[in-house]
Amino acid sequence: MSTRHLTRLALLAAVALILFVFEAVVPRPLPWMKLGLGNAAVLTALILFDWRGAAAVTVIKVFVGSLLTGAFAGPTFVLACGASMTSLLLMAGGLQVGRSRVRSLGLSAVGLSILGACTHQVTQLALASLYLGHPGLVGLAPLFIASGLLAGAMTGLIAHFAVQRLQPHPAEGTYP
Amino acid sequence: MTTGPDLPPSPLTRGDVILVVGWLVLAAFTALAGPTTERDGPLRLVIEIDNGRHSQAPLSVEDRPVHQITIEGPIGPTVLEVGAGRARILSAPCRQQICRLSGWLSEPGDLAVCVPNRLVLRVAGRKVGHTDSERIDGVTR
Repeated sequence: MSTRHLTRLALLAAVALILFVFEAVVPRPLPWMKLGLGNAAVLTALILFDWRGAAAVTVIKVFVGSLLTGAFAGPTFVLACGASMTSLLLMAGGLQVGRSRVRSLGLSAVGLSILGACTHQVTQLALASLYLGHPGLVGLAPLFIASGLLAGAMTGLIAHFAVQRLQPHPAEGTYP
Repeated sequence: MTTGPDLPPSPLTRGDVILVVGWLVLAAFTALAGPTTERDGPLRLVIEIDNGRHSQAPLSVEDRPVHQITIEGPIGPTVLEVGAGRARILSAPCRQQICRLSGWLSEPGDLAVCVPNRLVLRVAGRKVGHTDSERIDGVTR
């Protein structure tokens, strides 16, 4: 990976981290509802680079972000970690489907973002249910999925426009 | 001359639509099939803490006005305010305060959860005035 590309990936990681910390201190309409703006940077890295680049951005976002907000190593950190990793895994899978022979089922950046956001929400709920040993949290699933759809669509649009503008110049060749 | 990265298509592909419909179906399924709270008996707050310690507090008792209940959880005390048909968390020892910000619980099925303090609060029972006979003020002939 050239220094130029490494620098760009580092900038995406910095953006993800800033958005993550910013979101943690901003008041929310509902206490468990978050836009997940950091995921726009993760998805941009996934599309322009590869799953390794996106994983690097995710790890920096979750680990350094949790250190900065004071959540590191607590139970909510475990939830955020598990949810971010699962969400990245499914977004990477979704992107590959679009690049494989079943192109017609391919997802746009908005679709990928919705897939990631809803997966994040459901994973978090499932991990919380396991930790509390309480199946009653399934009752929250429709609300969580609905907020994932909304937030995913919004951050997906951001990622869509970011990707359009951050494409490498033809002379630079492709990323990694 | 190299080509640019293989970008995904513009938004609103067939895959996008199928994905959103899929999530909506899952949401509907969990709404219909998810465990529901007990709908019989008086309106009460069910307090579940640390995998299995249970207690219940009636939400409205005529001779017992609004009062506070302190629950000792794994990371500290959570203080509840209960009475007059509703309940809320007054103070919590957790960092994000998601449970306290959930606000008042008053309808059967309402839920407040504190993951760090391993606490689940939910409203069970039946609201008075929620069957047809109770909703009618009076009948004259």
